[in-house]
Amino acid sequence: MQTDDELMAAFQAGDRQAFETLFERFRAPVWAYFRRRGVQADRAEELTHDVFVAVLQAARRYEARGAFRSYLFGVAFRVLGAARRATRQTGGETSVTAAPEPAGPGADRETVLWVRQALAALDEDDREVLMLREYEQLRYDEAAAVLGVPINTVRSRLFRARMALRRRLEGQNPEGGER
Amino acid sequence: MTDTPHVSAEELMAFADGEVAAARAGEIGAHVQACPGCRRELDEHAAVGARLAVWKVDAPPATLTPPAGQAARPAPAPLARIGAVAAAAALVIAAVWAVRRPHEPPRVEAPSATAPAPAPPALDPGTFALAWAQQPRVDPGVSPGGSRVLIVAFMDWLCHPCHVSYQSYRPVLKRYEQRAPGQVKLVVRDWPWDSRCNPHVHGLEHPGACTAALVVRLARDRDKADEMMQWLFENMSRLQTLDPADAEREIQAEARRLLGIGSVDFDAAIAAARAGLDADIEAGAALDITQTPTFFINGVRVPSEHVNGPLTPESLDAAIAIELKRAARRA
Repeated sequence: MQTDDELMAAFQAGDRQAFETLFERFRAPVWAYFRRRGVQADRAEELTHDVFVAVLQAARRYEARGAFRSYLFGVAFRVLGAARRATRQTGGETSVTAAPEPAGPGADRETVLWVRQALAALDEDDREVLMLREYEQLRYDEAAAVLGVPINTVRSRLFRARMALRRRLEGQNPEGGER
Repeated sequence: MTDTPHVSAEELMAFADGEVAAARAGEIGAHVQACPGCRRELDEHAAVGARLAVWKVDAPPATLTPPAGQAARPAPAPLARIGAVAAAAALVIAAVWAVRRPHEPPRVEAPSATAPAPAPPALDPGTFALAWAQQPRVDPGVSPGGSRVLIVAFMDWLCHPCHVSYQSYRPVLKRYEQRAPGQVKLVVRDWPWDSRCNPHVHGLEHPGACTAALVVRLARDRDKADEMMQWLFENMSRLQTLDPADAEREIQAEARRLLGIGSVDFDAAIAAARAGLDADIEAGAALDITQTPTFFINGVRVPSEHVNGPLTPESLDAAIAIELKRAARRA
């Protein structure tokens, strides 16, 4: 199997099929990125599309200065930032609390609600690092590149976020009011 | 165990994430064996991770299909355009350019993790000249003045390969300055990987690179560029661990100390230098800079995107010699 970076290089050299393979590989993860951050389904479809359009348009300038994966989520991060700014202007809201209602068995459903509430109670910067790590599975340096912050900052934010979740899980802080 | 290292809860988390250098991970692993508290800590981290993993989202709709279009155009790959006859020569030229990877994203690594750069193969002048002659040329947008060989270099002063190449080329350029005064001209332009001043940078950044570019400009005007660059080079790794605002403050403080300028004058000088920096960045964008350093030697781009490093001092020397001969033939 070709790596993401090999596919991107092939696409730069004019191989459209390589782009479609990358799209197939990442359409669900990018979609999930937006959904977990509270974007409604129809909008998530548009934003996912926007991310791949941006990749397409920037392909000429793309250089493998890190993993393709972190580049892609970096684009998604900026696309979401722009969408949120636009939404704020029109009075709407996208946040982790507005994320889709979970489907599935009751016990999981409760856990998911717990997770969503716990994430929503986190500081915004801490939450983003935690989500990039847990859901987009980025390494510390990749998350640092996406957010434009030093690796040590990623590590300290991640630690803070996880400690807050642990306190919540241990029931010491059930309402999430204390930090 | 009396000699176990202290492991903070945060470091333990990084260990669980596989984000600790191998040597340290070995130490921590041994420590954890003998530390029930640490194992409990790791279990609790794992429990949080397991909870988060329960949250799955719906699948994307079938209507989410790939957007139409091609890469705007194939990536500029001058070497790929040269004829089949010269393909072998192109490989040679690619190999001799390769010293180290150009611009890496900001990363702090343990020294032991850095593999030594492979030694470049010996340069065959005939093959090099053949490949060089077939490279496409672009207009780098800088007047050569009275020089015969114009070298335009796009640099980021928080990029390790930029410093290394800048230092390793100096003796070559100095030799030409003695041998053929005024005929070889080096123009350094800025391409900071920092979106605070460079709107063409997306994703991977060098925090403080814009400030570094500005203070090197100030230092150049005051004949202190070498000292300023040396300080940036020595402090690069540390600066990359700071928040951008702190990195900028540190760079500015050092520049003020080195250049002996008061803060009011300093701010004015920085503001004045900004126009030149912006002009360089726009020139770089027009030339599709995707890595640093990127050199243009009489318009020949080195390295091209798929070559994995800047040119060696030997190939720089060879390229200048070829260009001087070419200019002499035309004169």
